[in-house]
Amino acid sequence: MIYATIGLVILLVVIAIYAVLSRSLVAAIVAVGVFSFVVSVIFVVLQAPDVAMTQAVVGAGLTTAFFVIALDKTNTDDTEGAE
Amino acid sequence: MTRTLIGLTVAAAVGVLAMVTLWGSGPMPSATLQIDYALRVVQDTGAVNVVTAILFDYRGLDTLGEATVIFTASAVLAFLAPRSHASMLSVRLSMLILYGIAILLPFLMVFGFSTIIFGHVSPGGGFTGGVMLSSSVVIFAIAYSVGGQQSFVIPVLAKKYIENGAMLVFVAIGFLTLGTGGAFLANAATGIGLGEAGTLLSGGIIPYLNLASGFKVGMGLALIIISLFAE
Repeated sequence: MIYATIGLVILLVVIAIYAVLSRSLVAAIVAVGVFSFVVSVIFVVLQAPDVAMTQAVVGAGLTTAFFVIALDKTNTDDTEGAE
Repeated sequence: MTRTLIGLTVAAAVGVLAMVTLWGSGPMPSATLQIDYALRVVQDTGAVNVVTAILFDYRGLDTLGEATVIFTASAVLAFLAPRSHASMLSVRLSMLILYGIAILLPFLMVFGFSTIIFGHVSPGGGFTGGVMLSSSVVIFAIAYSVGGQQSFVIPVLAKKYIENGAMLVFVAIGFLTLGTGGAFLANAATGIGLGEAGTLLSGGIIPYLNLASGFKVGMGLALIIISLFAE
């Protein structure tokens, strides 16, 4: 059980690094969504279903929706990424 | 180049922090409160789901405070949103998405409601179900009123009334317990029987509080997102 958690946490770090370094904004937003999803998977592994459900719904659902709205409102083109 | 370095160090720091907290999260040395709650919860509140029992019975007042946080956020954002006829997403959704959403929506709403209603028995509860409800309202708003005609969206005013109504219900339940001799929002002292644990009608006032906070969070977050859209 602890090994699953360690594996998932390492996955988290990889996703975080990708989100920071990714060229396009959309890829970064998706990475943040996946990050929240992996965090809720960790909560499931640690047997906390309530927190996992809330994290999945709010983290992956609403936060990503807000980022997408922001991206659409600022309608910057996708490749703005790191100069 | 420095940007990537900063990014890497931040990412590494977060990773290390996560590892350390996870590593250190073995059984807390003095887990007495945990065990005490776990042992006592079913007799005291009749709810099987300890998290919901704590959230709505032992610390009902904190949940009331938390509900007001969402309440003020949605009130401010609804106030700031322009009254004018703002365009929703600039993109035009294809038929595939519209019909897909048409199929998806009922299941999402039923799932949200069931999470709220079974809050004290199964995992999830007022807040989680409420967020699902709000996401279903927002998906409805995105899909069917692209291009700004708000006719399909539940009129914003109705959402406000639902939210305010649910908030009042929450407080009214609190006063109800006051009426029957218990403290504000105290569950066990009310007349409403705790019922047999595990059944739907168990848990005294918890199911009703769940329902009230579920609607409140649902409509409040929907208002927030719609007003964010409408700018």
